[in-house]
Amino acid sequence: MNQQRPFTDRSYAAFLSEEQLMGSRCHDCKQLFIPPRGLCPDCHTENLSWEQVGGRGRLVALTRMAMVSPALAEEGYGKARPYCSGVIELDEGPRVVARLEAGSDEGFGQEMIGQEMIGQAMQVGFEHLDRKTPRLVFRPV
Amino acid sequence: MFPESNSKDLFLEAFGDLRESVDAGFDPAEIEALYFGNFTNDFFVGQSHWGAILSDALGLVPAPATRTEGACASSGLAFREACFAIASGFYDVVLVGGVEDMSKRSTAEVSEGLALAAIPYELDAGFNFPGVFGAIASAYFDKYDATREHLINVTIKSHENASRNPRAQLSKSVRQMMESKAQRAAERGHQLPEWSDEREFLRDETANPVVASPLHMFDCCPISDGAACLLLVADEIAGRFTDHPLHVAGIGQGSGRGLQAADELTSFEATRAAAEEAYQMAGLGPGDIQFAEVHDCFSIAELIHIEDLGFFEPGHGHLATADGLTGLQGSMPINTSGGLKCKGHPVGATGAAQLVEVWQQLRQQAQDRQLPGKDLCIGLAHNLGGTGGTSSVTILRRGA
Repeated sequence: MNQQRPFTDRSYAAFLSEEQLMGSRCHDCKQLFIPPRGLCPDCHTENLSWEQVGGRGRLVALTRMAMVSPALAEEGYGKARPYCSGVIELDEGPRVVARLEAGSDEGFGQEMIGQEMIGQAMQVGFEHLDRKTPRLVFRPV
Repeated sequence: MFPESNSKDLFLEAFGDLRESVDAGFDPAEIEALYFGNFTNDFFVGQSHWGAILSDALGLVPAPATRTEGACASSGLAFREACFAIASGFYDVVLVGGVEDMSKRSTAEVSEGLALAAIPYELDAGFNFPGVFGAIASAYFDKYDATREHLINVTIKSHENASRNPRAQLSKSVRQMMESKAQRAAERGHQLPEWSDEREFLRDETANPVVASPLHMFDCCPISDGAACLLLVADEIAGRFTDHPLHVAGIGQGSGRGLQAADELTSFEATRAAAEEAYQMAGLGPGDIQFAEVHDCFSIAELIHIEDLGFFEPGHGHLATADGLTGLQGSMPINTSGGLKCKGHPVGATGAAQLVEVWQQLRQQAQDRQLPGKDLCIGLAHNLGGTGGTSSVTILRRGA
């Protein structure tokens, strides 16, 4: 069934809600793209297929945000409760952007997170919210 | 900020300044077309179609008015399109500028508006604009062993330059801001803060709170209203307007990808492409540029841009800044205006405003912040849109 899904952001989100982190691989240049692309940006061909990744990677960039968007303020984030997002380089190569969590109540929002976390091994998680797209979350392994 | 002015008022004021600055004067009826940059007045003031409104306000109707959108690089793009229009031979006299009217909405709403320029995947991951640049800073710190102290150097320099710019939105040096805060505390009988110098002031989490680590308030440009415009004319007729015209030596524009797909986290591919195109057209290299206005929406961005533009080797931007090379007295002055950080960042007007600063410097009209040297003849402006999605680079030259 998976092979039939179009390479769209909607399909990517649908896979996330099934707790699968999926990308597309170009059969010509062998590059893997996450989120998926339906057109290889290098070969300009549509010779791609879905591929699931393991969801492990390394944290390569991060930030803790204290000034938040109105939508996240509604979720209770803000100066008193900052949250973290980062960039993870997956073992398979591609980078993904995601929320970061420490896996405890103290969490990544607190002072424990900092520059020293760069390089940390991370594992994917899926947070199901009351909306279409689940939130991609990475936690330390 | 200009709470009483709308986009039309702001642009008219900029146009008035332009008229005064053209040595021999000019008749607005000569303007054949208007190209202007605006990012999202659609969102900020609920009106998107400003071309015809500005054209009418300036008395240019029925001359065509074209809006360009490239997020914070919108008017850098307008300038490039105007160059093409003149270079093609279609027009001889074109007005080019930009406007943005941001202060009519709350800070939270403005951030929401700016987020329209981010990559959707970044937004889904919870990133806001400071967050994206904060993450980039963390990658830069890791790769090049830099620290927040290196960002503080940029902030102090920007404020220092702005304190010499009467048009700057934040026109005080960090030391002046620190002293006025201490004075206010004293007047109110509050306990006096014990900052020994401006660096300690900037390290104080209360005086300079975190926005998106490692970026603090003083690493971020303010919310601004503003407009800027320039008159672009064909080479053959420039002598009618002034004996001291500036020439467009090179223009370039590039596109880039978001954090998930960019070729590097500590460099903007759009900037590198735009710079290469502009240098090639001008027959110049980074070593020929004498000063530059670069898109310092956040302090870390300035460090990356001065590397991407080739002024310093990758990873050396923070060292050059620490050594004072980018200051007014340095060998490569950057953001003499105070930059986006202090001059202000009315996003759609910024590209045009940067060119106004380069123009003033090259014509020895930058007053207290004037760079020395009668040999000053080549300056560069670098405009960046979104989280690196769009960039434009323009090189202006005095003399033939």
